[in-house]
Amino acid sequence: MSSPHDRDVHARAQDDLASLALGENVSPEVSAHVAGCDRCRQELAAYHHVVELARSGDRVDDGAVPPPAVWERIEAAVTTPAPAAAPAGVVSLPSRRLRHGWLAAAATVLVLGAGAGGWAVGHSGTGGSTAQTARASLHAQPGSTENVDGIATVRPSAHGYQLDVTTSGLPARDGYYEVWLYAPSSNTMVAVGTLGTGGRGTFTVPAGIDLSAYHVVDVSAQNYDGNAAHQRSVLQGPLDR
Amino acid sequence: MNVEPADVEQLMSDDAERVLATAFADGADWALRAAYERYGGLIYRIARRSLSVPAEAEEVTQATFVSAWQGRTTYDARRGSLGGWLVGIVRRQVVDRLRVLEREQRTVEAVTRVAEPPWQADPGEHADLVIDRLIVADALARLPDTQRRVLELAFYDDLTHQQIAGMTGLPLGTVKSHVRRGLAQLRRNWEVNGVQPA
Repeated sequence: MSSPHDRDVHARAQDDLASLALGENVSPEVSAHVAGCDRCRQELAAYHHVVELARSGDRVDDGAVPPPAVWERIEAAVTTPAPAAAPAGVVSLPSRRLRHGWLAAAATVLVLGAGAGGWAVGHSGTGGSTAQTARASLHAQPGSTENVDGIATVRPSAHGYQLDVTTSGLPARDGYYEVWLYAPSSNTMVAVGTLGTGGRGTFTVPAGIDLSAYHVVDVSAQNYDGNAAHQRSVLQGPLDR
Repeated sequence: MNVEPADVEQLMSDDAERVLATAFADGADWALRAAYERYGGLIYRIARRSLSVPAEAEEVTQATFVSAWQGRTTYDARRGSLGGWLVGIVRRQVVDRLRVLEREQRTVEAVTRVAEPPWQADPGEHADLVIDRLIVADALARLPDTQRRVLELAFYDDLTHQQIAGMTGLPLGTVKSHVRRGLAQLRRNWEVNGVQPA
């Protein structure tokens, strides 16, 4: 029904909706289009609502966080007796250690990294210490085959930190496997590289990545479709030490 | 549309959200702590804004995460975000608590004849508004710095795009693009995590 010109005005209107919701003036042509376009009107209403929520909520987000005792009580409430056995060949650490592993890791590296921002890479020439090796057992994720597992280790190198990933049981597929580091607290992830054909890979942890924050290693199955975003997790595990 | 760094950051964060949600439903041993790190502040602030007594807000925060973890098998990542699911749980907790407080308040009023109940309308409605405002504020706080700054100037200082450009030194087109991307992100967060409009 619509002409190329109409579609062009609609596209420009879509680009202007956020500005309109903030009370900005837009071209008369766009205003006229929005007034007569159901989809634009609905979207404008949604933007208006969000703007109102933001304005009326001025300063409501004071950044308050719950006191530490709240987490302690949650943890106490969900702690159950340790399971009799860890899944075969995956984790051999006692469950208590596992649960606190990352906390311990964060605390330890803060001491070791004295003044250098914990794990933050960049203090070249510290060389000698081998104590900072961290390890992650990688577990199969839902949807991947049962007998898949892997190990990731991190050790200091001349270029910061080196991440070694070794997996077994990953099926050959029409695609590739990408290794990621995930930071639960900021909810972000960075791609560190592609696994080789043997299911192994050695990568340099990107400069500026703080491993006390990016402490979960993830392997994803990716398709050759030009989409570099994380697609489907097949293996995952937190770095522990 | 070309992909800008802010979009990549957002894509990574959406991904990470899915990774966390899957791990949570699956009961991964690090996932409860990770979910608490990601959403604990928001859940606590929702409870604190809705309930005036800090100890009650702490209790509700605790109850939310404990019941979420215990009921994690009922969470279906295909049906909604983990954040939205947790917000739904804290909302029920808050509304239940408000109903109790309201009953207590009525009892007090009946005795002392004090006018003006604290909640004119349904406590649920009051809680929903608080929750939606906090979700938008939380999403605003998580935007990339420049986007956030531009939106704050538009929201709270009521500046036009032109004025924001003059004030920040950003080209007008860039201001507009930050507004568009930033507001779209707030809207998406509200739609995904907020109390669904009836």
